[in-house]
Amino acid sequence: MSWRDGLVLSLRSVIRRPARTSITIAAIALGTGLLVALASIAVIAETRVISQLGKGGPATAITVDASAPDPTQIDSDNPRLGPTKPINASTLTAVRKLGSVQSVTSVQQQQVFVIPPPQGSGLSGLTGGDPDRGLARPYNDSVIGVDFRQANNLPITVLAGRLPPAGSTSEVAVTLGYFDHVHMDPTKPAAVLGQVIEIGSPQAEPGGQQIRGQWTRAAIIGVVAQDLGSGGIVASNQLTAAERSWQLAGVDDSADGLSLPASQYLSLIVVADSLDSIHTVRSEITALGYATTAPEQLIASVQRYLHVVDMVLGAIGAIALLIAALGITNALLAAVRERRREIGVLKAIGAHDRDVLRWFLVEALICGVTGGLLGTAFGIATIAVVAHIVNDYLIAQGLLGVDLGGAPLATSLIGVAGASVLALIAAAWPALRAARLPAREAVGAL
Amino acid sequence: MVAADSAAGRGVAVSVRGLRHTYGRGRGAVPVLRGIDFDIEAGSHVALQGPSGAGKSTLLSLLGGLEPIREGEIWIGETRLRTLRRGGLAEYRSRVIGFVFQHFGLIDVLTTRENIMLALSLAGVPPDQRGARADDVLASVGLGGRAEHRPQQLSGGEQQRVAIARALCTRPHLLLADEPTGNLDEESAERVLDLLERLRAENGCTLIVVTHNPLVAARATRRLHLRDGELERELVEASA
Repeated sequence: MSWRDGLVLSLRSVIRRPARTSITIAAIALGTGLLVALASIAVIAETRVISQLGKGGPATAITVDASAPDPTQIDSDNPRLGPTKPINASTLTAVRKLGSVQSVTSVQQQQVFVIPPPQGSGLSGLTGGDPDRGLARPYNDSVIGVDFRQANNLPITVLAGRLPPAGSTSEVAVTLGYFDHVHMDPTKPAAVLGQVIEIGSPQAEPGGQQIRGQWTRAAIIGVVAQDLGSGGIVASNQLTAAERSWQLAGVDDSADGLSLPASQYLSLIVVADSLDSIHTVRSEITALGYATTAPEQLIASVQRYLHVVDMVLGAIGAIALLIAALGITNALLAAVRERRREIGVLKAIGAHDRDVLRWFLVEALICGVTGGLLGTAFGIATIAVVAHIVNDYLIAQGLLGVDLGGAPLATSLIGVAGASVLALIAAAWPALRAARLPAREAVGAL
Repeated sequence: MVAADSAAGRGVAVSVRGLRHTYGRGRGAVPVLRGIDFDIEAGSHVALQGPSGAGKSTLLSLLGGLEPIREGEIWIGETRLRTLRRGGLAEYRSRVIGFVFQHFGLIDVLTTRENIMLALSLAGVPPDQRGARADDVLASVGLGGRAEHRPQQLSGGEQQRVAIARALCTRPHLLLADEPTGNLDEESAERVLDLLERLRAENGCTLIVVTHNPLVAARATRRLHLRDGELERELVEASA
């Protein structure tokens, strides 16, 4: 029998019993849908949870601190730091040369004086604040300077507005700490967008008790949460570099609390190329003489728990598929019983065992592919519904929503392919049974 | 490859020697055929008669290669059936034998034309020839206009004519019919028998019919009576 004849026969047989076929396909679709949904949610949840551990940046990010490592703390995620050790351009170059490193981003920090609105002009703003009248006082703070082109590799989460463009010296982002200084409600972060602040970089004058400032006016265009360092303002590294140059042009005035910055960079953010590489990269940086911080143990621990969740979800999905497989087997066994005479007739007119086998396997494959496609679509729809419900809940709880996205393509393809293979496996026994039916027994009337 | 005598009227078409058959084993064994010997000339029309349980259907299924021979021999032309394995028997059934069943045995999810084309496909007829041959054979049984109908859309007589067309489309050497009129009214039965006889003559094949019906048996040139698994007696008509 040709494949075409086999396909026609199988298709017509599938259509002949619409109710049974529909139930069989529905069982496969439910099983596949459940597995696709559970597998996708597990994969996406794992990605999101691990991503959360990166605090907005990649989970594979390692912070290199401007300190020597404490030998007793090397395997700790947040080690106690050793003595200060400046990070400079040569450190940056050395770290970039390490293996398994995807990217290295430098972070700068500059001590500044901030005058919130309503601003006066120049130093007049120093006396402009009056908390009793709801007006903000000028305050000391630090500006964290980064290369915003590398924002995706940094532990920065935008809460409102956007990040300043790379190289900008007229736009900055602030953290929620800013709201305390300006007496505003931090639950409404967008309220500060558009405010203009004045940032003063101090310089101790040689030989005197004088401190003078270089002032920059910048608009707040974003509110962020950041884990780069202590500082309420996040700006481009051009802004912090200019402030650093200004301060270095003065003298060290440690007695008045204005010491010259010892380290060119506050820290480096090193992104390893995979979670498995984090430990190696950290060890290599430690060998360079710097302390590192990374949620390495935490991620490993969370991954272990997530694997347990994966196994539980996988087991639930597998049970659903097993039930679907039993449905296929049962439906085909019924079909074999029903078609004993038909099978016999086919054999009587010359069909080989393999022809009968093909007839039933193709029939199962049709159900498997159809069920797999419907099930995958059902799974994707389920994910969308779950994402919607979860988002609604998180927002109602005053938390940020999560983007579950769609089912990963690989999971969808595996869903269809898996259902098809499952259908074939489930059909193997009934199909073999049909194929091995003795021709005479099958043609019962003879 | 299965071989058989290629035409009627040229020697022995079927030769049966010492054929015995038992269903089951041990104490539950039921002997059905107890040693049968006969020859059938090519092109002849033979009726197998006998009461229920006499072994007619078993003999027909053994002749048709529907089950293996355990004891004795059957020769169909030059083919010794006992030497054929499952695959060889399937090929034998597709190329040498044509079956007509009491229950018609049409695949009800296929049209009449597709039923015939399936038999041609199994017999290894090239795809480009199947359509024309199916149409020819349907026309020869008077059902050219019913090619696209499903079996359930046809009367019993029409279904049996389609079954005959399917049996003959591969130009078999041996046509085996099991109670071919058992499910038909008298008028349809007459038409089917006329058709079988005409096509047998036209195709030159050997026809063996199992029947309880004396009228059907009367059309045969030779009648073999079975009783308790043995050949009880044989009647040969003077006029073929």
